[in-house]
Amino acid sequence: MNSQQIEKLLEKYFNGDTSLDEEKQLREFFAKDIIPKHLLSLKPQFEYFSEEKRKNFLNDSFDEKILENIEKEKIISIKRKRRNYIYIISGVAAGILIIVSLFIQLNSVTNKFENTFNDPQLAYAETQKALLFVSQKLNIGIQPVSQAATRFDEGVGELSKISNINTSINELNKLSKFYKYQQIIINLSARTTDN
Amino acid sequence: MTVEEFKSEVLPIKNKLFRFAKRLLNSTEDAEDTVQEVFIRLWSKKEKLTEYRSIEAFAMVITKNLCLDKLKSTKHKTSELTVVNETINESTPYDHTEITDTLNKVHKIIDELPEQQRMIIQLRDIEGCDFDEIAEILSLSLNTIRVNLSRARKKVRDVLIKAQNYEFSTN
Repeated sequence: MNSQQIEKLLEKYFNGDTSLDEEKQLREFFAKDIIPKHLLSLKPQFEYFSEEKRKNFLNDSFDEKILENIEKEKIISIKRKRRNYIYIISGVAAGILIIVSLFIQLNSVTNKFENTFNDPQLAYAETQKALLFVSQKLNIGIQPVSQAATRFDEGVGELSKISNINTSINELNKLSKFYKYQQIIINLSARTTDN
Repeated sequence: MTVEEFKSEVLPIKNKLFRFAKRLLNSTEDAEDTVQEVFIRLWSKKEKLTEYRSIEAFAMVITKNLCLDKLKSTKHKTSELTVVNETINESTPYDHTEITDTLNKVHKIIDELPEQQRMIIQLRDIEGCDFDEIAEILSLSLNTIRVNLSRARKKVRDVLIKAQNYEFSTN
């Protein structure tokens, strides 16, 4: 590449119009040892760009550091994930438990009032029949009890006649008078036999 | 994305990220820390990573943002503490020989360019990115990139010529 072409490229370069390929050509040109004197002052500018890229890099120990950090991060995230799983599973389990218990509860409540009939008229009749049957049986059961109760009352009435005993006993008290007269008679008879 | 895939597809862009971070932060150590953080962020997004058109451009954007954040916070810190810590700068990474002296000069000139121009010249002249890539990374229009690139290149040239003329006149 002659210096005229280079100067054209340089003009483009300083206007920011060169392509990446043209810039590479410029860097290669200025990397050479022999450079026209009037362009020599630009040599460090292009040299610097190549040199900067060549000189500055991160070595393998940086990679190791990064990978170490990543491993750490991985372990932490796995732990976090596992913990999240536990949370999710326990949450789901609790939810199921609540639903199941609610279901059972509701089921038992509805079972109590569950309809076993199809025709309400029939159900009414059946209920009436059942209640009638119960009342009939109840009446039958009550009858002997009430009979026994009336007899008991009769018995108690008889017992009230015991009050008559008092009057009879008063009559018997008169017997004491008989005893008195007997004593007098005994005394009298004894006197008569003495005489 | 597995560790192996990450190692073979993502990790190789480390040097490009490192040079870009170093250009912005002007510190090898800070640049390395930043790139490490970029990779950790990339790994944490590994499931979505394959959805990006260019993982490299995405990584460059993260690098840029992290660097600019870092610069902002250190600027804030130094202004808070009023400690001017300019003695620690790695603006002269080349050994002191005659050839490298001129390279150091170029480094210093680029270092003094505005942030945007510095990023553009880094991406274009050192990394060889095409304009579309640069536009994606820096979210600038193609025209803005071209104009700033031209300015940056000319600035380096002008300072170098000036320095050479000065040398000639003193010799």
